[in-house]
Amino acid sequence: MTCDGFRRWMEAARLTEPLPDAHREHSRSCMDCSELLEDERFWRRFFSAAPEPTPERPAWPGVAARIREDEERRASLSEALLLFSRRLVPAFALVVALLGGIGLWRGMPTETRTQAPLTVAMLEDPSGQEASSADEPDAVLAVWVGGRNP
Amino acid sequence: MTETLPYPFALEDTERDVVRRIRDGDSDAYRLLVERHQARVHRLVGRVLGPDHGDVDDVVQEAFVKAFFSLGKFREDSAFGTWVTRIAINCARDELKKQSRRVPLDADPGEEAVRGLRNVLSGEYPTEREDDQDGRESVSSVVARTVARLPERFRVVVALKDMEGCSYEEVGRILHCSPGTVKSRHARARARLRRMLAPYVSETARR
Repeated sequence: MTCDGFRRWMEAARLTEPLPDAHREHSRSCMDCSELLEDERFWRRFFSAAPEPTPERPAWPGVAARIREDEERRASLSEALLLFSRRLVPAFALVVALLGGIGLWRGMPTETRTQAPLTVAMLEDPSGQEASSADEPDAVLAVWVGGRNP
Repeated sequence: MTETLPYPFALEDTERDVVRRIRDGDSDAYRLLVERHQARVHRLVGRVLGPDHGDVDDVVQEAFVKAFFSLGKFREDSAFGTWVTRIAINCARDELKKQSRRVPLDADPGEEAVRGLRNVLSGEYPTEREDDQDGRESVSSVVARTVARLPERFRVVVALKDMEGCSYEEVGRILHCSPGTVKSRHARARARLRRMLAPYVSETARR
């Protein structure tokens, strides 16, 4: 019997029964192993006095209820997703169209997407004259036409 | 404890088969696993949380719920028991973090408890009278409170190794660390316990 063998045996043994002959011989001849054996017995006695917590109620009903709850939540979520996905394609198309439109509009040159500068450009008299007021379309037209065709 | 139930599967079904059935959508099959492991998981969680902790049942329930929803990650090369034990220990750790309380060692555990503990430690356990239920309970309380005063990383190792009887290798598998690390923590835990028990240990019982 080696010390390693004795210690491996000690770890798994119950230590409440008399030692097998070979182990008893070894513990008598090896002071270290003998002390380890006494120490291990001390701890086994100590832990044997520890209380043993026992469940107050079965866990399964609570666990099952939580699982059911979660499954119902997932089911209602997937229903909502299904409903949403039926409207998702047209909604997505609409959003893409809107975004595309906005993008195109923003990408346009400023002169072409706003009316005011265009009006100003139109109001400029090629002959150097300016219309008296943008609120008088006839006068503007007359000035403009007159400027082209003096 | 639980009502008699017709299991939807033969009792000799292995846990691996049960896990496969659950993965296939038969969540009721999980009942077998819960009932098979509840007592052991409860004992361990109770020991990690310490005495007077009222939430052991809730923590155990949380552990089984978490295990159920994580079954997709369960690798079948380890035992379900090992896996659920790891989850339960993590749940107990989370609970301890929430509470961060320190179990007090009774200032005066009482003469009876001290005498009883001395008997236990000197090998004269059980106490002189077999019917001494109160004496046994007071000794148990001192033991539980002493263990509960260990830092959590030591307490878990002591609960698994000394109280549940796991080997160093098994504890290492549960805690995801090497047997050497477990051995070292175990030795340090015992050294601390020895210091805490010093007042109760007679010279002859002390190493």
